[in-house]
Amino acid sequence: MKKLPLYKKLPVFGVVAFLFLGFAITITVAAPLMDKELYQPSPQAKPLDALASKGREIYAREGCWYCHTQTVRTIANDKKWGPRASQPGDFAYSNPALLGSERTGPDLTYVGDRWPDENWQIKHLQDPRALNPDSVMPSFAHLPQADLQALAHYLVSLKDNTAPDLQKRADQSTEADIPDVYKKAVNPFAGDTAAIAAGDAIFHKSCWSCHGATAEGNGPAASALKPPPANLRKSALTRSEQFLFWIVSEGSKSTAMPAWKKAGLTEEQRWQVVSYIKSLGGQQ
Amino acid sequence: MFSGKEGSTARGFYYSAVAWMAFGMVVGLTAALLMIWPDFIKNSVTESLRQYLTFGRLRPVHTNVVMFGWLSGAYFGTMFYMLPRLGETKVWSEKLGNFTVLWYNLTIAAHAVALMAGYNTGREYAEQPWPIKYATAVMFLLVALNLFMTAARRKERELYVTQWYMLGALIWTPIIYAIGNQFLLPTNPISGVNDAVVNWFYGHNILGYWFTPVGIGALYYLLPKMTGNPLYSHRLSMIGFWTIAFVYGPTGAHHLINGPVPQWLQTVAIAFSVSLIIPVWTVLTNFYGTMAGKWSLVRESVPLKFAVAGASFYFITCFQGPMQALRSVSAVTHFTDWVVGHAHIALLGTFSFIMFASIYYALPRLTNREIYSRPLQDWHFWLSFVGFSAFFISLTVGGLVKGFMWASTQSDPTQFIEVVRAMKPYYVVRALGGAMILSAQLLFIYNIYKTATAGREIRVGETAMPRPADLLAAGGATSDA
Repeated sequence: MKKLPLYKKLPVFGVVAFLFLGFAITITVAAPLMDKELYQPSPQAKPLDALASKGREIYAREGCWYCHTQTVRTIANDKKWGPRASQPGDFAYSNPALLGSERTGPDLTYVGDRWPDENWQIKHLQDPRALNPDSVMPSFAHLPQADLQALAHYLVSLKDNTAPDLQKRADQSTEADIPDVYKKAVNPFAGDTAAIAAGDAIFHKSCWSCHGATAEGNGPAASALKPPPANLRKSALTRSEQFLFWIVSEGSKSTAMPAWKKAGLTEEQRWQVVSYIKSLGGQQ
Repeated sequence: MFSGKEGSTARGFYYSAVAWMAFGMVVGLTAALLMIWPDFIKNSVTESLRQYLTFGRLRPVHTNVVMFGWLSGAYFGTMFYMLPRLGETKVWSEKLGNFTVLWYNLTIAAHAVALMAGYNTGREYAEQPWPIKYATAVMFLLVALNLFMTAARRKERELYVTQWYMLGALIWTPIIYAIGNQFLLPTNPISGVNDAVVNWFYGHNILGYWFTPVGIGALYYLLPKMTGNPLYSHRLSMIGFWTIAFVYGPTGAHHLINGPVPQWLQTVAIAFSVSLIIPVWTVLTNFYGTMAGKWSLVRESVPLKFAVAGASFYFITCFQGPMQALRSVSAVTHFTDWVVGHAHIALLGTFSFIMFASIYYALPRLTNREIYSRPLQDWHFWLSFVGFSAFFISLTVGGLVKGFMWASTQSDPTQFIEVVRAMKPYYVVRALGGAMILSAQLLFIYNIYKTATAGREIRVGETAMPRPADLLAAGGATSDA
């Protein structure tokens, strides 16, 4: 039997093969694991309450994370998903991390800012296509009510924890409650018909499912919501532009009204919507 | 209790693997149809069954069953066929091998049941609960033990490149599996963003250190056998082997490009991902070199058709891989169906096709029977090839459309639904392609079944079994053979 060179002997081969992989393990597993900065909680990181934790378990169990990411990347394409890109410390309390790898559905990092109402979430989980005819999301109507509540509670908890809270409940507020920054705001489009048309288009894409196609608070989701969505034809008469702009921007506390500032409408678009709402005044 | 017959382990793995393939693909096709008709299961099964059949439950069943049930099962069969022959010896223990076949079948069944029941750890490709992770690790270790003992008792002392690749994979895979699955600790101690880092170390390296080397190793065995040409360059294949071993490992974080992981980790992943071009070129150079002058054989031989198609798809996947790791490309393609297409062209278009070739080559030699039907083989190839091409192109183009639509609506999340709407035609073509692929495999399975039970018997001396040394003796650059 001829003698093999050393590197062709099985044990030697095995050790060398292992060492080659060991290089990768050292720099891309061991080094990040030892990086303490990656574990420091950021201002965005908040431990979940018991119900939200249960909701997160259901989120993992039902595989929501195959179609929904919870990572806002550091690139311009992702700006629509929230006010700030995700940072390592945002996940300090997350196990599993549930970053996700595909966006068949929207990113959910700040979904609680866009859809802050648990009843809306439950209705959407039960019958996504009632609220969004083109949705391809599975219906979760088969889940027990307790599971749906936990899941909805978890989803609503996913929001920007770093911005100052300027939110109040709209139907319990008056002109006096408008925060200073909004009190001084001026509609750049006052009386501009093109802006009203643009606001009309935005309204019939983003607002109508709660407020209704006629803006009288009677959209398909309205029956699930408490308090009910506002009748904007009335608001147009009773509220100032500044009040409307404040609520459209910051949302309404403990209701389904999202903070559109965080939910993807630019300042310009929010003024256009306000112009449209105002244009409805007196058209009842 | 367990058979000690020669070849029984390889046969057992092959027969089980194709059955798991059919199951895994049915689940995959169902998931694809849910993208088109999201309520079709809800409307067709009773309330109590619905929870097991949502997209979120079916997807991990599909991925795990096709990865570990089909492709890994076929890999086990192929290694139990090729490694003893290359060492001119017998399998160390066919009895242990047959026990491993049973163990593997139970493990895969446990995957399917547990994942459908909703036991999901929330980590991609590592979803199974920890007892099943242990069962999987044991499965790999049993195979590794048997095949290393086989290799240690080889009579042909020289190691051919196929052995390097396969034995290397058997060392690496259990390590990667254990690390990637939270060190197999039931407490899942790795949390936060490092959970994702470790998850993708595993998610990508199970490809780099298991699916790639065994598939490429099998291709290196089949090409000289099927063409009669010696391997173009043994030295080049060795360079390929050690560069894969070195370069593949640190690439995992390319799944997290532009994400919440340190920039240096992303840059390392990108640099090594681009370097993967090197081992890929060695494989392709060797492939074309070995095929030289024998292209006319492709017309005659279905296994060679699969090998050639597989190598071509390998070229595409390995060109995509380094490119989509770049930050600017990833910004558009990441999170879209492009990635789903990329995953399928590697595991289905490349490595599954190589396994079809392996099974067509090995099965007659394992059963002493000719493949039952040549026309069915042709149908198997063309339906697979055309179906997969439609599948891949629709996802790739759809993914680009999606990525660019997202890029053009940087401020408005409510436009997301317009992108969902735009995807529908691509999802329809994908499902049609998937249906063609599945029907091709059903013909394949029928053909295998008929081969095993009614194939024409091969008389002694009819098929030459070339000595592996013949591969080496004429083996291009291997002067030391």
